[in-house]
Amino acid sequence: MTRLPYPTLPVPNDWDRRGLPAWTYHSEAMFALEREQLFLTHWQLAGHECDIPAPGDWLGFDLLGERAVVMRGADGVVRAFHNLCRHRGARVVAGDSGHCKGAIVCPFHGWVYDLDGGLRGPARPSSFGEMERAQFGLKPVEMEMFHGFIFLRFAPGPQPPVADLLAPFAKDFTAYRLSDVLPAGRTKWENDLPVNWKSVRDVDNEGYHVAMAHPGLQELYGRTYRDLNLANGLTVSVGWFGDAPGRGWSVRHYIRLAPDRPDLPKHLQRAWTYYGLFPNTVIAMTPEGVQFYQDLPLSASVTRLTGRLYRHPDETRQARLARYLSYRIDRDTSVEDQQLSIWSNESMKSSSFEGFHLSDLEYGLRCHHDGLRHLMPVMTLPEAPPEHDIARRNAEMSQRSATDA
Amino acid sequence: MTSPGGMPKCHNGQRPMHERRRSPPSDPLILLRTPLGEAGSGRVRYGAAMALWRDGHMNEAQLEIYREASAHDDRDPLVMLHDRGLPAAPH
Repeated sequence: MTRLPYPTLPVPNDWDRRGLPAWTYHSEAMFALEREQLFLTHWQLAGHECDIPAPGDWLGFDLLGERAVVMRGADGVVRAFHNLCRHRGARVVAGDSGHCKGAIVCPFHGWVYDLDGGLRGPARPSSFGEMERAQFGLKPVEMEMFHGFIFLRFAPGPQPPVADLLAPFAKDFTAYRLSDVLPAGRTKWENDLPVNWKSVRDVDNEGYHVAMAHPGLQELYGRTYRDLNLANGLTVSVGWFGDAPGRGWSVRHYIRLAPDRPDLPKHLQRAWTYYGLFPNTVIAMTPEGVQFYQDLPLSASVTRLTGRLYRHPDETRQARLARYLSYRIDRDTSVEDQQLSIWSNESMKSSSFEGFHLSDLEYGLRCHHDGLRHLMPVMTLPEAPPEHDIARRNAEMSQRSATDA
Repeated sequence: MTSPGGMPKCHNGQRPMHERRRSPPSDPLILLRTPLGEAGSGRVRYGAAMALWRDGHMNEAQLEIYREASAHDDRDPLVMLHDRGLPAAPH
């Protein structure tokens, strides 16, 4: 078995195999807590700096009422701002991505900002009397870059700086030359699913289901697939292919065409690797391509599955074909996983649902759930508190935990 | 981790950004002369006009003409300035 160079958490001999209680997947009050204490306070991946190569290029990133725009300034520096005009709060840019030539012009009244977010001037300037323009620049959003990936955080939170948090991934990311990647074709994809975000993550956080639910992946790497749990909510999953020929069209040709990467360390050769970041982000690599994907909740019962795709510079025709084939395999896998997420989510509304009983091969779910329980201890209650009391109960339990600690 | 998705559904129809590499001019006098009819050019000219106003090279009445014209990529602010008896924009 290939040795993997990550400091992993062993699966205990005896552990609580239950998952989160069903009510946490449907409670609006619980979701409001998740918004405040999880999503807005944890690093979110908005894109890669190659997505915005020229001054004025921008990416939008919305999350639960917060709106960010990541823009490359005239000086070439990438910055992140709240996508709110300081006049009346309109979006200064609209959409997933675009380009502002020379300036950011608010479409509502016409306030104009420099590409570094500073206010160039308000429309009808004299109507504001004396105005200190420096006080009205676009508000910055906390942003950090890691191997070209752009991480945002809307509010301070418990995670360390991204470079510290993702340090266990650094050698692999360097080997994959992630700083050099380029957008691939249809860079962004998204798909809204009528489930709570945790149901998506629960499916993605284990490979126990691969043999049954994903015939393509099983044929590709199912025999060698492993999930590893690291500290601080990190995960690494890896499957190696090429030990057996594929029968399905996509897998058969993929195995034949996937480029050899002798430049990669042995554990990354002929491998599909997935690097997970708590609570909802995965960066995935194959020999021929790179992508990230994430589950962005839109409400307690709707989740946006989205991500971006990248290729390596100087891509050969063979690598491009392999990337197309891996896309086909992923496309099937996604459809299969979406159905599993829907079934899992709806099961929790049934009177006969008694919770999960997890295998050692699903310990990743437990780790993810423990991360949530730590942040929001009200999730440990087997029965749902009254909706109006959930925030108070959680605050009380958090206070008790802090005191005990 | 098994579900990267790979389900392209929406894309804004623009050319991929890596194909749009360029170093756009930042001189407001150049941007002010962005050709009429070019998509988004009305706002580009207005943004440049704001820089000229900020630097004292354009008065507020002239600036307002550029704001009004900004919604019309094919409307010439120089003609509007002339029609309203305002001085031409700086060259």
